[in-house]
Amino acid sequence: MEPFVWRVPKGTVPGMRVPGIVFATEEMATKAVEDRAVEQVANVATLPGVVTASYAMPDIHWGYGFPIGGVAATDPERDGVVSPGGVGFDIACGVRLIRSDLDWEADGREHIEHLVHTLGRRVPRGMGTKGRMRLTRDDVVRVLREGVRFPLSRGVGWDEDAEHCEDGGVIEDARPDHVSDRAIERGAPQLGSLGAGNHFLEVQVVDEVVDDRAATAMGLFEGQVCVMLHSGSRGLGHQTCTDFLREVDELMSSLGIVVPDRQLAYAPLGHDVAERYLGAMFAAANFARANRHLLTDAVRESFEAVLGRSARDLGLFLVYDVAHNLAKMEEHEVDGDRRMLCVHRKGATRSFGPGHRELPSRYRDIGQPVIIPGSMGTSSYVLVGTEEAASRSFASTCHGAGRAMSRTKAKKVMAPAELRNSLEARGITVAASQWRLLAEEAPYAYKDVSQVVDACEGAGLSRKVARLRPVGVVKG
Amino acid sequence: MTGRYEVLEHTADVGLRLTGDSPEEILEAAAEGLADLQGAWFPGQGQDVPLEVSAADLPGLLVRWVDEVLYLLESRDAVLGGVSVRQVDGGRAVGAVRLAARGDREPESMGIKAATLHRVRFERGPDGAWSADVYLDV
Repeated sequence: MEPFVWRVPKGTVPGMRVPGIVFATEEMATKAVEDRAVEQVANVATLPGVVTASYAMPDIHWGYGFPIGGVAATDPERDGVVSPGGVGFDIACGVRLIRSDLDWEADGREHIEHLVHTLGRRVPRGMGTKGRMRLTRDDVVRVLREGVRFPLSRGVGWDEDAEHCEDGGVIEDARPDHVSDRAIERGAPQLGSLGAGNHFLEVQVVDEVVDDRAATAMGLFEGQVCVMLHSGSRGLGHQTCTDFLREVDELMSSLGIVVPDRQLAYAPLGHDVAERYLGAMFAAANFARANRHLLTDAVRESFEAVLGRSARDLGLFLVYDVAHNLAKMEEHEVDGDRRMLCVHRKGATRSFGPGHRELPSRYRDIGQPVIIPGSMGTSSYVLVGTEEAASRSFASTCHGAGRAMSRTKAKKVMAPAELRNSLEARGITVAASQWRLLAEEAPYAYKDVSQVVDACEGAGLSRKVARLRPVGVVKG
Repeated sequence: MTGRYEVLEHTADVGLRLTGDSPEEILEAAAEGLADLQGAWFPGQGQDVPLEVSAADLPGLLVRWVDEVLYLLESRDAVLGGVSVRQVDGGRAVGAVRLAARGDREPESMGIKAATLHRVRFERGPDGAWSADVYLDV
């Protein structure tokens, strides 16, 4: 259609109500076709009430139901639906960036080994680990309702942390009463733990500032030490999605509806199942924010222990926390009218432009910070949302590099020890809980994140602010 | 148990292809495959825990079975010592899993979150053998 924009016409699969739009370079788009991810973009376009287009961001790859990198908005006034598969199992999985006042060369380099291994000890990680906060059932219900306000009420974290989270750290429409006992049982021991798989924590250095004004608003400068962490709603979110996927699958069966991929099962907005799912999903999102909030506390403690100064003195402030697996009710323009839509982002990040009323005052003039982790050992980026993104992608952009290789293939390319040596040869200290599985997340298993963010900028979905490089990796 | 599993490639996640002489063997192979990917397969250890799941159809039953085993492993912080499926009758499966406390073991786990309905199948072939596919979210 135009540079970085590819159209998937109606009719590509039967029943498409809108076209598909893939934002990508030619190489990425070709790969997405081969990967069958474009077929998934077309499948999403069959959902009832879907408006404008089924979108995919440049980090698109094969998912289940929705592609990873998929964005779709449905209109409740036009028989729109919500699909738990369009959010995914790790509800509100997301990324946050913590900045510091430390200069890498002057204050950071000499401490990095000690720092990474201290983080490795203080950040609970791996499967089924016990989190940093012991919770009663009533406590979990409060986390589900209050998000980051719960740990704040226990004296964990700083008040300004909440302001720099998406939604101020809490979705007010959360309904803990719609979260199952099983989900609470799975989640209760895990609050404040990183998890496994592609979840990580990295010590990074700001390598290049591209947009001085936005970087200044975020408190970022070249040579600065930062920490990026990626985690989600742990077993509580996984079980919540499982519970509701079962319900919507049964609902589809009872209504005699067949979808192109059973994982696309949905409930009509306004239906009891949809309302309960939304309330439970928002509650799980609050759990995810509180989880990352507690991990931030572990980061601050670790820096204090290693550098012998208070976290405030070290300037360890939260830049922003934003999810990339979520569905939310947002106002957008469709056919010239402002409408409340249910925007699904599955492996995609919200990217509100400057002036949006939901942004904290610090960022209202520059747009919403978008935190984009690269693959392990490669650059990460800080972007900002654009006004243009509102009309191009329901204010959405990419969420990371995007996988290019399966886990089984990735493990065959390089042995764990070889990968560790290769990372350390590039000056990256690694603390992994599962060395044998490290290769699953190797850099070569992912697309080039720089090309992904360039494609986002080229398509007008977000703008680059700064590039960061890793100096320490703590893997789940 | 003569049911078998092999790992299916997926860009982001992972799948299991299951084969066996009966639907019971398919579910047994699914539990073993899941536990193996989670680094939690320790044959012979533990105590039997009865397990019963139901669904409207066989593919749905497979997804629920895997989800149930995953839930037990995680909520009980356990490893899997064995699995026995006594009967699959329409949309209902009755059996038992053997669970042992994880203890000090540090399983090298892929970090599976749930079974998905994506491309799920569970069917008997013309030769009478059973096969199934299930994809797991990582």
